[in-house]
Amino acid sequence: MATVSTAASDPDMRRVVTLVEELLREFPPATTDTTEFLKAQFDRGLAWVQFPAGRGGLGLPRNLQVTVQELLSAAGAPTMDHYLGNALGVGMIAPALVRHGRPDQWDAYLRPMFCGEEIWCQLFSEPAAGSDLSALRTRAVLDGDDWVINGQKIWTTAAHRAGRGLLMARTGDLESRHRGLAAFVVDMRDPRVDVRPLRQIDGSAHLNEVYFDDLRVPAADLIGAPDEGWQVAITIMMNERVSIGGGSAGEGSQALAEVVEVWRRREDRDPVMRDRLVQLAIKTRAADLLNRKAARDLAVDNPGPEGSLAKLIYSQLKQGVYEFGMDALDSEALLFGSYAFHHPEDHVPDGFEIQRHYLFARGDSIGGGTSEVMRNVIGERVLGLPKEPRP
Amino acid sequence: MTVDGARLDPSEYDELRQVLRAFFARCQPSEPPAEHTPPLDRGPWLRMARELGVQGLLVPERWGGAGATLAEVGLVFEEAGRALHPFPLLSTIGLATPALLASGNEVAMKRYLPGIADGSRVATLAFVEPAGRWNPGSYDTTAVARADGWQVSGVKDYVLDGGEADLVLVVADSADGQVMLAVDPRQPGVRVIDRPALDRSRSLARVELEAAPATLVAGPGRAPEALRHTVDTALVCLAAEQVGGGERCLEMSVGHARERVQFGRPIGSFQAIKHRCADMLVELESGRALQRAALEQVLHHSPDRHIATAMAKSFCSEMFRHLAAENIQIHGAMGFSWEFEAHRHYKRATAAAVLFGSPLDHRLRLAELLDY
Ligand SMILES: Cc1cc2nc3c(=O)[nH]c(=O)nc-3n(C[C@H](O)[C@H](O)[C@H](O)COP(=O)(O)OP(=O)(O)OC[C@H]3O[C@@H](n4cnc5c(N)ncnc54)[C@H](O)[C@@H]3O)c2cc1C
Repeated sequence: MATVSTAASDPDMRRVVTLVEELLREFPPATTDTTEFLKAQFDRGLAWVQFPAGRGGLGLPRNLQVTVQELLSAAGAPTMDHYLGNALGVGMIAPALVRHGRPDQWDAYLRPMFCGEEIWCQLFSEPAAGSDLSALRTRAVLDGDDWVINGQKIWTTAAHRAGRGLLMARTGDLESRHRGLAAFVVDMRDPRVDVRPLRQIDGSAHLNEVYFDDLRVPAADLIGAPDEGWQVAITIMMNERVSIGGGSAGEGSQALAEVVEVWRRREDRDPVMRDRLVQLAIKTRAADLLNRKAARDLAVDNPGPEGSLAKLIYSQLKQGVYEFGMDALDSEALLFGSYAFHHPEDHVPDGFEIQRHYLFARGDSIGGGTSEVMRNVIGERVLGLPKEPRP
Repeated sequence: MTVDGARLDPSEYDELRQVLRAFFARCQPSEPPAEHTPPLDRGPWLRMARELGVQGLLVPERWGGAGATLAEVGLVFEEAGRALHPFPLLSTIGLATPALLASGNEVAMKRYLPGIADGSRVATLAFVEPAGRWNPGSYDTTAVARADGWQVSGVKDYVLDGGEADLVLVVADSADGQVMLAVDPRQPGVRVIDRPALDRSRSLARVELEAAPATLVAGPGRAPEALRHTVDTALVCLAAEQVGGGERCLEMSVGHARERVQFGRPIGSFQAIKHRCADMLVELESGRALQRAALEQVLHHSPDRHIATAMAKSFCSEMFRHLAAENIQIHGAMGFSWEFEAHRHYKRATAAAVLFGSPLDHRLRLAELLDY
């Protein structure tokens, strides 16, 4: 099991371990309904240990969550699959709600989010505001007790199955750039929200366009102050990779295992291919080690720009791994199952998973901030290099 | 080696690091040598043993050492790598000390370790032969046991700090299998020839042995495993040195990129430079993670340790060479100058990549170990 982290003092660690053991005893994962289990996990403060007591947490150092995840996954509890289904909410939006929102908002949103009853989406990007989020134009105008929202979002992951969305909208004028932004919780089921699917490289519809036509959002659903949106966005982006389970996700190892299987099916042992595979195995080990270290070092509530390292490494690694997988497939790489429209949750494995993952991996270096933007963040915020002059 | 030694509390690491950094900075040789690797200045070497106890870190207390662990030794190599220091550390504490400890031979340990710990003895391990293979199955150097002791004959090459060593541990084949022997290079039958090293901060020698008198350190039952353990330890130490060197190269690059102005702006504001630095950091941190993991695995003798050390050595070699090359590029013509530090890292990186097996050698071994 895990080595004991220095940031978490021993009594804290013992307390967490005891709570997990109790949870597993009372709700044996094998015989407990997933939602029931997650509710119980939330109620014991084991959803996000760093959150306040009664709000899914225990007020403990964040890195203890790694221990929780490790114990739970070792016991076969419903962790990763669930988080992957609502990773945006659990990993990124929840920490921002706690940091910038109010206790009544925590009570309203955190439990249903964690239990998977309410899937969340992130409504940031717009047609004219991608890497440059500060150029966004969706407007929020106060009218009595409501904010009235008009505009368009694009590339919204999971909007088609989301119950809630975290919306970034402009409260100031366009010239106010990042200073005039606000973050809102919006009800995605409202008829004034129009979600239209967008198909990606493999024919599936992971992403959506979202149109807002005079959507009325109660003032109580503003997160923080009307000009605090940029700070909320930063909290969300910093949490992106260093999220729950980040410590044990082994995202790279999974991809590697898939292509190793293809490689072992081959009759030959081409030395050049073989060396490429070994190089990928080394990089995968390095990435998983770094990711685990980042999660363990995270005693404070919110991560810094170091998370960009993991994001940059994993996106490049996965692309390299699946390129190898395609090369190992050789002529089979000429084939592909179906490009028919479908939502990712409806996908049935059809024997062309390497091809599909290979295609989809191109998005890894774009979504959640492009690799170029990650390098800017690392250069400027981690290494302290000067910013580019604004024209 | 076992983990019976006292491992420092991680909170004490920073202090040890600062002490080492200050020490290496104080006794840094001024000019890079053009013709030879200069002879070891024994003064600072002795001070390092007396004041810091570096040479005795791995040596158990009963033989005058600190009884520390590979974790502290790794720190020493990171700092030595940053400083590009020419001390015979890799030979003495990276190879010879773990070899003696792994031999399990109490007599040999009692005889040699105290001198290593107090700085009076520089020691090395001679295993590679003129063919230049770092992981051979058998050796041309032969050892025979005679009534009056052992004799060893053959040629060893690329022996680290062979010209400085007071003790050379020689790996040879005997009638009963592989053995490890202690040879005093001042004895008749031993000829030590300095080799002109590409990396002038680390001396190499060829050691010719003609019926040279020797003392048995590890017999056929012990020697092969002792050698494997020694090489694993040395790989971790070298990888730590590569991490230290890479860290220094990135630090220099970032410092220069912030200061140097061209086209009216600091060159670090150009993405072509900024993104290079970001990629350097990614590589450095990946290398550090692999090196630390390998260190832990060797320390705990875990079954995966050969995989971990091969991964660390392969990756850190390429990482350091790449960072040293980028550091030259980012400094422009200054990076290419004899007086400037950058080329010395590049040479260190180039040579370190070859020592103890090239990245490709290690990956070929990994392919077998991972069953790819
Ligand atoms: C799989 C996937 C999921 C996504 N999910 C969501 C989501 O849930 N919610 C959401 O709001 N958005 C989401 N996005 C959108 C994503 O955040 C944007 O695509 C991304 O920020 C880039 O914006 P863009 O596509 O407009 O490209 P642009 O910003 O137009 O970039 C185009 C190219 O220019 C480069 N570039 C731009 N600016 C710079 C610069 N300053 N320096 C150097 N190069 C630069 C980029 O790196 C890129 O190569 C998702 C995208 C993908 C692919």
